[in-house]
Amino acid sequence: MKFARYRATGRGGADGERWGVVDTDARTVQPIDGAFEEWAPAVTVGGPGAVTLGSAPVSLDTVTLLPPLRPTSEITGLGYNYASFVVPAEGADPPVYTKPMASIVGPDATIEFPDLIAIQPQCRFCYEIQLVAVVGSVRIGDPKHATRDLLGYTIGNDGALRGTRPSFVGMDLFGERSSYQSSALGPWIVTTDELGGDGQPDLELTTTVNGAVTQKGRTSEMRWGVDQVLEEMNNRSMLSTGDVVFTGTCGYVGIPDGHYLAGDVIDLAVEGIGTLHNVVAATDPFPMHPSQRWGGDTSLPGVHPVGTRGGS
Amino acid sequence: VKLARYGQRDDGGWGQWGVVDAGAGTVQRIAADFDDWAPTVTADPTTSPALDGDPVPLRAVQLLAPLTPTSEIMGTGVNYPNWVIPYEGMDSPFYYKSLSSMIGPDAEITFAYLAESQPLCRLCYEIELVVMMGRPVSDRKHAMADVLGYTVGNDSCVRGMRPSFLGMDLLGSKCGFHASSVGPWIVTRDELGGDDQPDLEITMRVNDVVTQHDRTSAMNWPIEKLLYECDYRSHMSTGDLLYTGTCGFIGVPDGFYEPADVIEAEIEGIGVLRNVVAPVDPYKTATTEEELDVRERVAGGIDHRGVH
Repeated sequence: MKFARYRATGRGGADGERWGVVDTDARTVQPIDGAFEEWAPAVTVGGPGAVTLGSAPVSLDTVTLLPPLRPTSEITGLGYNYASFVVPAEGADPPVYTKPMASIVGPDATIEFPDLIAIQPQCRFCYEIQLVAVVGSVRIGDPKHATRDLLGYTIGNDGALRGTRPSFVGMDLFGERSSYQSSALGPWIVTTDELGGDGQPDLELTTTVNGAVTQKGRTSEMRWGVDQVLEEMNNRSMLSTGDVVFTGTCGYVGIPDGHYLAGDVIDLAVEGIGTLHNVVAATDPFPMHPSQRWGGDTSLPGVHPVGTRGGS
Repeated sequence: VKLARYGQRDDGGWGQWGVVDAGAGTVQRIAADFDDWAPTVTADPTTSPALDGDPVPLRAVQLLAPLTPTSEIMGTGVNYPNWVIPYEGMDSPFYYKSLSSMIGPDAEITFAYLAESQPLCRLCYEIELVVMMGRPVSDRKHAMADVLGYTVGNDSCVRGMRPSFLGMDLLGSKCGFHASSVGPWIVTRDELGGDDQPDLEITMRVNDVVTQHDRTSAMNWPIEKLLYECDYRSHMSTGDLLYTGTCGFIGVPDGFYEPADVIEAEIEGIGVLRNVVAPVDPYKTATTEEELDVRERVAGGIDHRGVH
């Protein structure tokens, strides 16, 4: 079953926001009766039959999909979870971080360039495809099998500002992952029963930028499986209903990193979930010099003609 | 003006906001929603928001952590020279705290669960001046104008956990469930220095013994600079909190909690934030020589101090 948060087109404010069940074949969404914090734990325990549907389905074309989050959702993530991206030192703990609500946009929305580039112009703003776990239970029951407490999975584009200056205590993950409307989440949550059930999912990840594939991987390649990611996160900050956990990105294809250029069209596909589509702001307020692109190696293949961003 | 969030005892709900009259020992409900009155009071802190109903005695209500369901809770470290002296050109470390890490006045501090999987960890207290934003920042160079006021924070942190290979695990350190507290209320900035850096005495007492003492004027980075740096990284908005760092410890190497400690964090012009620590530390084994050695090493600051 697919759960989406949405607003009927043309209706403003929180009053118009609802959760519903999506039928991708019929391209409709039907509203759910009751509050998320009531039905989400019930579905997690009892399966998709635990939701009560409200009024008639409406066409997906008449609604705006929103990021599938509660106002109080904690958004956390971890880095370096795919060997195709970075191989960490043996025994090293995953670097974990928090993202603020204001950093997240929904499907089809515009991704903004981070303001921090204005005072740290060495930074490069990059996309990252990630499988995102959505917690359904009020508390994690068995920490060794925390995927049992998931409502499902969705797709995340974790905007990363690479190259920020480190602080005294290490890498500035706060500055790297928090920028206003730099990341995306959606289009909906697919319940775990459709994605292999409890335990580790094995789903294909594909990033396409302006029609060219730039990331490819499978979620079975994760160094720390979803069960362990959730256990480690819950050890640090207690997980609860509606919290989401980004589970790391896979490597890039043919390019060393995935930095954005103004106007990019980005589609993140995760097998069994769907596609998260976004566009990047039409103007880059802090254009990158060509020497910053991929370390200045202009021979690298990529999806952008060399020198289309800035240059003077 | 003192602004508090309060509710009925053991209600568990989000309660309501009110204006405190500390002299009379009462609180009176604010008529509008927080998101409506906070920007108005921020624009002119000398105006009190419109009130509703009669004042009720403070002893009849439960003061709650002064924040909202959508508050982002942020913090910074290394901000007092008697704790750590930064090196030239160094950036402030920023981090987030989770909503579930926060409790209000008089509530019980819980030992951090991370110690179950990382037994060398110990939970410590840190007194901090906490900024509350009253509206989004409009001019980053003059962000003090967007501060609603200040409150007292106890920024509990786990020391001694394993770093990740990118550095200190600030999420693991700062987000322990019900480990940190904030309150008892927000005092509007006009009473604490206006748009200038506040110069307030801060004092931490543990079981009536002073263990931290300094003035907020000693900060390495003044609040205006912190807001500038923080807002560049993460847009601040109405109701967001920023912990501004802790000062050094006196007579103790570090601020380890012991079960049933009574923790009183006091800041001049604001008041006292009092909490008690859980009566049992479920993650503490025996107080062996070996464990004491580990505590000495952690307290010695191998991981988080040492740059002077």
